[in-house]
Amino acid sequence: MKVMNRIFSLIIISFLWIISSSVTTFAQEIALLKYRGGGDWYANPTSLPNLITFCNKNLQTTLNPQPATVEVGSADIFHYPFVHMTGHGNVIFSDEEAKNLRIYLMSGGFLHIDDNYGLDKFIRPQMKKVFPELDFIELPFNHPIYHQFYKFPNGLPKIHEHDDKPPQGFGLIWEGRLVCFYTYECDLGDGWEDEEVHKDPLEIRTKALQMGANIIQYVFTE
Amino acid sequence: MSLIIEYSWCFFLLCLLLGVGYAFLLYYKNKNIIYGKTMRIIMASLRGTVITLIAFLLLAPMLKFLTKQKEKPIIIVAVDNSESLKLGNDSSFYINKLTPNLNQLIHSFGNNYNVRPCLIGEKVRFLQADQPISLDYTDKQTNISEVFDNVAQNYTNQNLGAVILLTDAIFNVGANPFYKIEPLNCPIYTVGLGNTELETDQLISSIQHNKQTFQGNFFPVEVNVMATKLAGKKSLLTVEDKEGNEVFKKELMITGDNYFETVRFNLQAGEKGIYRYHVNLIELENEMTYKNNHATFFVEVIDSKEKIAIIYNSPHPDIAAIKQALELSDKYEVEAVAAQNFRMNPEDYSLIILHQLPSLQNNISSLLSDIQNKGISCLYILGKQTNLTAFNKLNSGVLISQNKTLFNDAFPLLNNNFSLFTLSEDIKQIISTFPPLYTFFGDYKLTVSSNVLMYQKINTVSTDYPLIFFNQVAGRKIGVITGDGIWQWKIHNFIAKNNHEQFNELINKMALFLSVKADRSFFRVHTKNLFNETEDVRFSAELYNESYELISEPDVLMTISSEDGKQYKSLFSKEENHNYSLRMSNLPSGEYHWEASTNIGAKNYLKTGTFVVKEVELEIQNLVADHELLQNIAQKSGGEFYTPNNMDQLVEDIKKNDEITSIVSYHKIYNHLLNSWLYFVVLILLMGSEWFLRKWGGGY
Repeated sequence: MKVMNRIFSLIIISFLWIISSSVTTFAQEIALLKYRGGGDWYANPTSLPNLITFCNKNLQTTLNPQPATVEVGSADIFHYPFVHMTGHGNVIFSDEEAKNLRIYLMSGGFLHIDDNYGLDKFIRPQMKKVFPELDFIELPFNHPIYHQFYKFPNGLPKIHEHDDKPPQGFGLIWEGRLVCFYTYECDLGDGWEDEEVHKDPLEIRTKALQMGANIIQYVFTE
Repeated sequence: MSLIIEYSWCFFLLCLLLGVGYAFLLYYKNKNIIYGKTMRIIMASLRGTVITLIAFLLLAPMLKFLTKQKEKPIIIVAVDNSESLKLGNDSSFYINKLTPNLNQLIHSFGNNYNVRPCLIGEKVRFLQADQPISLDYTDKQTNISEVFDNVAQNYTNQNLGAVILLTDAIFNVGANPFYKIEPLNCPIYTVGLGNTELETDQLISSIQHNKQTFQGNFFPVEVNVMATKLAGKKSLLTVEDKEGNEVFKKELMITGDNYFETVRFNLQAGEKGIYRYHVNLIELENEMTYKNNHATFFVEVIDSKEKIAIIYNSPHPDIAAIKQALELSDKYEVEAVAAQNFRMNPEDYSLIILHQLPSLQNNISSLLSDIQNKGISCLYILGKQTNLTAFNKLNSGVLISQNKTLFNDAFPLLNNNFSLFTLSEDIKQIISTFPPLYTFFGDYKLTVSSNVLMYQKINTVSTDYPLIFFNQVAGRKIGVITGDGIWQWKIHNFIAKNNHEQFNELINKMALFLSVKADRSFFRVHTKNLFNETEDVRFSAELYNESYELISEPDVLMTISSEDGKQYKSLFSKEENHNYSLRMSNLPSGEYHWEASTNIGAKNYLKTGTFVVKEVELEIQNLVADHELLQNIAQKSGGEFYTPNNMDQLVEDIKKNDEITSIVSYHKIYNHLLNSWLYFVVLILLMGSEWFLRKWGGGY
């Protein structure tokens, strides 16, 4: 009987070993939001990979180095704890997409919108469609999102100058939880890109990455 | 009455034939017969009849009867026995007159009705049919809807004629009775007691306050004051603490005859304990009663929030999900800190959650031994970054051995034998649909003392590897979640249920179990510290022997002493499951000190504590009777409304109501003819006459 048991557990273990070769090497992936309407959702190809590398190095996170791409209406969106969105142009969420994004954010997901200059007038009405009951409110400088691993006592860092306006961080807060962070007049994502893309100095790029890491840390731990 | 047989009546002809044949053979083919012609005919027909009747019994004939049954109409007489009635101006009527009037009323129904009296109050109490009503107006609450529920449940399948409801209709517990009358399906005759007129009075109609507050906090209190027919008068509201110190006061200008004012103020909580506050309105002239000028309320001051630390190796969505779930219950203050930044004393926390720790980057060995030495409860969440070698040394209850660094998708599989705490059915159902956690692939060795909440199900294979388990090592509670990714459960919960209730409950139940210090005493007593005057004061107790097995041999004595030095002593009763319990009813309101003692072997054990029995003041907060409600109830149900003065009319009206009458029903009863004694008498008579004729005619 004992022998039988041994053989049986050996079979089970080897079976488990075979199916466990579908190993998830990276605990989480973060994703880039692919939306319709004509805007360049793919604007900054190197920014998210650079942010991930920075976080994995400095925060010891285990993010998959390659960010995923996810559509607004896709059920896959629920697999990502953090979704990033950028662009300069038009954005359209269909009713179905708005509903899907709404459920994702309410269920525990997070959306970071980075205005790459020109997105503002398109994204605001679309987010209103997602959360008709919520308005973007500016987060004060003492908000924990600015005081994670890196300290930003004066709020968002300024990466690119366009209209001589100060950078602003807005939030949608649903049932006490920040579900969407919107960086405006900041060009944070540009600061995450490879040096040769925008020729920004290292200091500015580091600030941008540090702020990005703060967002990730805030979303994952608060 | 009729006679029936299961067979065709043609069979009776056979019986008849048998009888005739028998008689013919006996009296006409028999050479020894000596009787004359007439005698012979008579005797032959007697014998023929007997044989026919006996043969007829073979056909199992039955007798069918119809019986009549009369079901008298049931009249429910429900009388209000609550305090509010004797507090009004006409209290003498209620104390002296109503009881005899009522018994007279019940009597006048006579024998044609089945009258069932009952009392309304905190609970409905049905009296015996012949038991006279005796009202003392001592009930502290009025629950009218319960009467209707009770009657609907117990009487509607009988001949329920009517309900007579005598009350002031000031209900302060239960639903509005107006919405409960439909299921009764009978007329309700209402008698309006109490006083509908506004009386000269001021009263504290309600007090809103937090039941619990934290040490040192300011807590808000709202007192609602009402005053009727006292326009222009000045009043004073004072609040005193237990020692009689005035903690708040406010002058009130009563501006109208129907005055209402909400007074708001803040009080500061002192040390841990239960605090009693008295609220008083000064007594003005001509008030109907002064009883409702005073009220008390209790506030329980508890320790500050318990603290939970989530210490992590790296930011991970699990941390936010768990933190948010714990913060939703007001019990905890939760901090999430990176391991390298944690500088606090572990003793400040009732639970420490370690996410992917110890790891290669953070071996936190000094923190871990500190936590262990100080006996702080711990929840380990394993993940890819956990250093298994270091974790295996922690004596958590599991040893995980790996040959290769591989991971599994492990679905949760609930252990139905888990007993450390109970999960709701909703959680149990949803757990099986939760997505997998990422666990180490390897061999898991679990200590016997571990209690597994969930096992790992890998693809479709159910394993005995733990996914979540708990363990107690030297009185210290430990929990382990063997994989990361629990944040996906939260998301899944929302997709399935549109809320996070089950996830939050699961996390909070786990935290509550872990954060409560293991009780190592041999004698444990459990009770609440605040009871209502109308509820029983209950205690339960457990006794353990040296090996922590429940025992129930020793007696446990309870001594309860009140503020004025009265002592109540009683023994706990022993329950089947080795538990002890004690229940005391009717303790007057006030503060009590309790002392439970027992001997286990030669050792004496003592536990003490305090509790408060709170006065129920509902009845004095509203004294204006609501006759409109009674009129509406009567009208909607097809009854009538009366006052105590024309109550006699009520009996007449019910007697006149053709709908309220006895129900006559007929029942068929079947009886075998074989069981009928009359039949046999007939048979014996027939046979006896024949025998007599034979003797008389000179035969043998």
